[in-house]
Amino acid sequence: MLLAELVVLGLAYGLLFGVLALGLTLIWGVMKVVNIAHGDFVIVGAYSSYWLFVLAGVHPILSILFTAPFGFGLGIIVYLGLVRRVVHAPELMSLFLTFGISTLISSLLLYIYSPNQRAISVTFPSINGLGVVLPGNVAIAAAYAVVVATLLRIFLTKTYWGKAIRAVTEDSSSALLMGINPEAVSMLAFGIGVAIASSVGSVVMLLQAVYPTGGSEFTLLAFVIVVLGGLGSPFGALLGGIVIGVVDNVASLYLPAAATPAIGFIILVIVLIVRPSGIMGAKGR
Amino acid sequence: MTEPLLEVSRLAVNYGAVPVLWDISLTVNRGELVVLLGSNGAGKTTSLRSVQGVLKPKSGKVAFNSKDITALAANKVTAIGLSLVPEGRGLFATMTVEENLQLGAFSKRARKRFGENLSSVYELFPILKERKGQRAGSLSGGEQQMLAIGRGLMSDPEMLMLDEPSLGLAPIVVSKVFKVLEGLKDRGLTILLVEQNVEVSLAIADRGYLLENGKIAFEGTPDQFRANESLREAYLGL
Ligand SMILES: Nc1ncnc2c1ncn2[C@@H]1O[C@H](COP(=O)(O)OP(=O)(O)OP(=O)(O)O)[C@@H](O)[C@H]1O
Ligand SMILES: [Mg+2]
Repeated sequence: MLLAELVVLGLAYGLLFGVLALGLTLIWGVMKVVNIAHGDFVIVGAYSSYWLFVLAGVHPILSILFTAPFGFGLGIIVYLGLVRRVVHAPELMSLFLTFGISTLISSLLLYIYSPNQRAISVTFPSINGLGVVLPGNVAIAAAYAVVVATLLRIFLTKTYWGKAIRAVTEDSSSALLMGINPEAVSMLAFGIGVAIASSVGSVVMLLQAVYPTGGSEFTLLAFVIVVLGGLGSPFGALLGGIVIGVVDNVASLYLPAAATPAIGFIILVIVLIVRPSGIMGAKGR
Repeated sequence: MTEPLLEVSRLAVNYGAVPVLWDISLTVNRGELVVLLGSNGAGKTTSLRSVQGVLKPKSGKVAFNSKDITALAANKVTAIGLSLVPEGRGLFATMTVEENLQLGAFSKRARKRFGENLSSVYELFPILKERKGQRAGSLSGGEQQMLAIGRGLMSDPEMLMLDEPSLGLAPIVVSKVFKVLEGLKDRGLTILLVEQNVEVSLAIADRGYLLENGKIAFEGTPDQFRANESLREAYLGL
């Protein structure tokens, strides 16, 4: 493939995974919980879309209308039932808890659906322009990412609750004095984070096959992007996603397939050496 | 006619097992400006944070507007009209001046009067209007303190508590801030001011308390403070 084509492809994938990472960074920013189960919620969304497609013929893109609110509700239930209890505990506790949630989800999926891979075939016509061909499904994924990132930006900058999320992220004790209930903000952020993960799952169904235990790959990817972009920075997450997406795809031109997964980590290590707080992270920490 | 707005009775607070406040009782009447003085580590910040509900007292009672708020969460205390401008200002440095002011008006009570309060804050601090699109962290120390006070006012408080608003400011800026506080009092706002800047704060206060090692060591009018020989020598540096 052409270099330019790989760059565009990487950009599109990068946007999608940047949005996935946005969900993770939002949750971390508000409650300082690393949600190890983030990728498993992607799989939950993907399976939901798979069955909606197989059983009811619902197009995966349309099923986002289900997986996003479903993810939001699921996130709120998981927050109220479990995560809330460890928000003020040492960070190791929340790692254990979300790891447990991750294991629970993937085991449940494995039990219900067997370890088989699931895929659906829906293809959008590819897009041609300036001598570059972009597969239609990837273009749709990128469009989804742009829409979500835009909506999230409007929410975070224009609404009281969006600003409250940013305020709690920046200084939760000050936010409390403003009359903001940090518990309510945490619940909201967790709901949004899971809604993003789960709707990304619907989009992932357009791009690849999924299997019950595949969530950890998405978690790892989102985690690398978040750290690369700077913990807690939404813009950093998007930028980090694009960097990883482009470099991964371009590297596949020059490196054997087995080596490309390491690229993300190599970039991460280099960035962390040069700039320990990540690309967009707060300085001097 | 004096009507108590804030009544703190026999408040005791621990940090873990370490007692920090013993038996604090103080009253702020409606319309009063009361100053709480005390040297470093005396427990001034702890007192304000306990009144606001950020810290849970071990024993004692806090009443605001005759309502027991001892167990009320800090965000709800803000929502019923008692606000704290914290030590070190606690601004959202990466957010704009206007966003900080909007966040000050987060509670339902405050949102109702948002427009009104915003214009009166901008009238009080024209510099904030000029800088409304700027990041709060880029303001000078004095401007940041004005923003912190303005943000407190945006909650539409009946009573404002301020924790060392003069900290780290040049003397000329300090007198500006105190003039603002005096003006707010004249408009009927009830104020509990924590300060180490004794002379300046006694000059604008109706009454004062002196906190010493977690206990109220003295209370009285500014004249009574000034008249007390041992206070003059030990604490007041007058
Ligand atoms: N989070 C904490 N944990 C344990 N001890 C604390 C904590 N915060 C304050 N203290 C201790 O409680 C005492 C009172 O502190 P506080 O901050 O209320 O004093 P202050 O009068 O506000 O002092 P300053 O003028 O320095 O602001 C001090 O001895 C302090 O060391
Ligand atoms: Mg203090």
